Amino acid sequence: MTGAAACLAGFEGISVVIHGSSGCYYYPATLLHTPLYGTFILENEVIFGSRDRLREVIDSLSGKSDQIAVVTTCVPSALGEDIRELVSGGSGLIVVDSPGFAGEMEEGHRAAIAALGPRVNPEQPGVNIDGISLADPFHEGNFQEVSRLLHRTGIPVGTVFCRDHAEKAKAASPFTIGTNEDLGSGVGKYLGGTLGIPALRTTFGRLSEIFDHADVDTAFKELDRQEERLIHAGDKFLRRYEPPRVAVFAGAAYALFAAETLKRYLDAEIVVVGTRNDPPEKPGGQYRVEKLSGLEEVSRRIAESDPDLVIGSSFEHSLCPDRAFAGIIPPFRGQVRLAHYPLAGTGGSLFFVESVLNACMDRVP
Amino acid sequence: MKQIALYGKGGIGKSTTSANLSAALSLSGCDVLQIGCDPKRDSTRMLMQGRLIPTVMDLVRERGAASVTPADVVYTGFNGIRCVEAGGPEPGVGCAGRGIIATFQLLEKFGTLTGDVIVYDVLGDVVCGGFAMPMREGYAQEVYLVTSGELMSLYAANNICKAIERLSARPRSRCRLAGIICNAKNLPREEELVAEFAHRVNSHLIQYIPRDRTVQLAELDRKTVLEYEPSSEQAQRYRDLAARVMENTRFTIPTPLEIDELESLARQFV
Amino acid sequence: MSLNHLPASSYRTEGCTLTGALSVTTQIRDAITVVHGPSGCTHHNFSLLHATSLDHDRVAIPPIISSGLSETEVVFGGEGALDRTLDRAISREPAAIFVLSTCIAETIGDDVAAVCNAKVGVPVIVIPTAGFLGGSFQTGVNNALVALAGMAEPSPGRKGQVNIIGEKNLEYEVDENFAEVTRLLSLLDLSVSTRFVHNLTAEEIRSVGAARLNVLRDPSLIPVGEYCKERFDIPYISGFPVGLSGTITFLESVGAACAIDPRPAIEAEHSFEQETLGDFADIAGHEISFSSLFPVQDGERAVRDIARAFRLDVIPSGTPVPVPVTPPVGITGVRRMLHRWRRAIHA
Repeated sequence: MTGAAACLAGFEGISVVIHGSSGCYYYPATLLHTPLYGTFILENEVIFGSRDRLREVIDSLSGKSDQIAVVTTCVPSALGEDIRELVSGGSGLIVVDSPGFAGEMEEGHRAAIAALGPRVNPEQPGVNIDGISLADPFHEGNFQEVSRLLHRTGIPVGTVFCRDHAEKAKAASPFTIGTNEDLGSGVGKYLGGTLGIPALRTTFGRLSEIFDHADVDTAFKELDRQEERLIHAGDKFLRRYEPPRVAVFAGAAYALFAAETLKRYLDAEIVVVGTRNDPPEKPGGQYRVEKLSGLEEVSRRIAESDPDLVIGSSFEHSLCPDRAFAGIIPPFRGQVRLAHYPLAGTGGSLFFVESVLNACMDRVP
Repeated sequence: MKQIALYGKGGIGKSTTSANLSAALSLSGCDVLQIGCDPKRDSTRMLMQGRLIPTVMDLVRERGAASVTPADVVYTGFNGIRCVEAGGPEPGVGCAGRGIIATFQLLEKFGTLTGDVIVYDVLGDVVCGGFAMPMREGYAQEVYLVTSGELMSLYAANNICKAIERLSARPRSRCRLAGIICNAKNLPREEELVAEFAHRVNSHLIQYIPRDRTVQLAELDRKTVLEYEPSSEQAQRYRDLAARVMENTRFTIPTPLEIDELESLARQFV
Repeated sequence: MSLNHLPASSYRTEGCTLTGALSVTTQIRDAITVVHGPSGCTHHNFSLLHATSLDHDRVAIPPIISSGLSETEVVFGGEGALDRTLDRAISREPAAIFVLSTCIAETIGDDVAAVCNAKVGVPVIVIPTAGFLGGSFQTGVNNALVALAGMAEPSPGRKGQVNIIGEKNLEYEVDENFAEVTRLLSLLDLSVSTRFVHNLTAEEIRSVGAARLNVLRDPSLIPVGEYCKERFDIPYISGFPVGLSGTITFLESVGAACAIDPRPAIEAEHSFEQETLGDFADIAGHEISFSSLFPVQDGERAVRDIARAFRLDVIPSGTPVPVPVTPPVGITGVRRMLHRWRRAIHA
């Protein structure tokens, strides 16, 4: 539910209604920092049907020119009510059936995109940016960073999934690059990701084939120069310190990015890669990638693998507060985070490696 | 306090049987409470002179649970039988199972579940956990299945046996299959067939009730047979059933059949 | 955050029983709470409790595990998943296991009590929640407290100290409010026996029956107060001292319930009150308005009384000053609120 709400709420011109109880509403409302609506249903509406209540809420919102998106929670979804039938005469109600029991946040995101029904306009110039979700603390940083890179090369930004104006979802560009493959939109031809310098090189290579007027050299020069700095910083670290034993816990895309980046610049020993969602079929790399469900399993893997550095969220940090830590998946409790940090683009690799190096150096052995 | 539940396929005459059983039990001196657990809410109609009493769920929906009192939901009918209807949503909407659960919670709170006998009349297509509520710990310990000799109603009865078998497996469960009641369609060899079915699922045919015009006439007059024509043969059959229910000690864990076993059984008596 | 209160039915936004119950059960350090439902319900609450913990400068992993219902279990029944999860919990050898159910588990009709009753070896206590189907956040809190009080035995003939019942564990100032009540009790030579329930072990819960008086956090806890009165024969005061006059009333009530002369304590608090009036004399005569999203019934009256005592005029066009979500506890609480008001007035 949260994944679906995050996806749709990112589009200006869509009002998202959480069809469920106030308890369900509370979590996305505080996590996403964006206006959300709810039906706040009661037990009677479960027993007799919630159609009237839902209609009441939708009608009260129809004064706005926004398109309305209804996201269902467990109980209304299990009741199987025909929400679409509430639409009278093509007002374009979006309905996403994405109860919590149906899967992880990524599943909800996918269902929301499907319900949104984005369309490609073959004449639309530029490239779409994918993988942006309000539920990801790096989404704004990623968007800014990748936009910047595209701007430098003179390639326009198409539609941003999911943080854009709603109409742009119906007029997306034919090509897309991603910032987080776990949250792919499936819109347009996918040219590649932007997590890590090697991926950026591949992707900008493909971009240069399609956009032959683009000044891709500028991008490559930046990639080379920044990578040099990363290599230099990693090298300097290795002159005094042992490469860290690293345990990574995150969504698959970020987890793999973290593992590969640390291997590449710090010769790190990756002892655990644990993902919250299903990892891709062929993750590559020489380390074992496993889906871990629950803090118990994470705790066990940390105890078994004895890492120096833990990459994850503040949950993992709380399990072993004495080890070096860098946060790449929410929550990040106990610190103030106001700036928009990326993980994608050159800026993302720089920020990530910088956080890790500082964490490792600050840790008192 | 005896708590019995009657389950049976829709249209099989389960509510007729429950109402007449309650009437017979009451006339024999028991203090009876009948609770209709079916969104059709017509289980107690024949005990209330044809009146459809307000349902628990409708009242809660209209007034809010805090404003509903026991007097609002318990009605006294024929011979002092107390009647309650759980109610629930119309077809195709909402969640009737949850309605049953919510009703039980309210009745508990009201302290309504008292008397010599409580009869739960439950719809037979037990499609979700809520409809098994009457069989949970603290409620019905004896389940009677109402069936005819038709394959489809035996099938439904057999299905409910699966639920009872599963629930009985719980260590503290006291819910058992108490017997089969044949509400006949007057098919040839129907009584034999249902008796054999009962035996095969590890139970017994506790009463054979033939199809009898008296029942229809009584219903048209909005009464149970016990009230309409107490001296009829049919009335006696219900009295026999009541006596057997009170004396019954054969409570078992059923052994449900596979569909092909059921079919070959039916074929035997065709 | 846009809160949709249509059509002005506030009982729609009274939160989820799970959050309430978990705010109590996760305070028991050596117990595990099992949430029977999809993983999201556990995740939401885990996240909130973890954040609150860190806000209270405690690094704690709330001891919660989920039965992780997926679509298959919603369709086919989730009792098997609950059973397996209970076994997982039992293998960790906790002092007790609390089991909460979610709305979806109760809609499909899983018989949670039956599955729990089959377990032996460790106390497995079912707390009625059922997500939003079971009531509000406060219902969850009260049901959890009653269930836990049920684990304690009455101890007749004892004359123990004072229990604090139903502190708001999710409140930012929970420890500061407790400190204030402890201070006031000490003025009557009373001490706190059990903080019920805040940062306890399962064993410590069992001593809740051995006190002479229960002080409830506020009137919403009265069902719990009544339960304890019936089970343990312990009288209760129905709320923390609120504001200025509330403090005096509190001392009088506690004194009366424990047969202690409250006059010296009241005198001491009066001086504290006078001192406070002096300390904040500079804000007198200003015009203020109250800015808060969640006005509290009795809280509004207490706060207006305070404004009056400090000679502040409350008018719509006044300087907006923050009003705490729950009314300030004791004179110390009033002082903290006044500091925030003074900052706003002089800003």
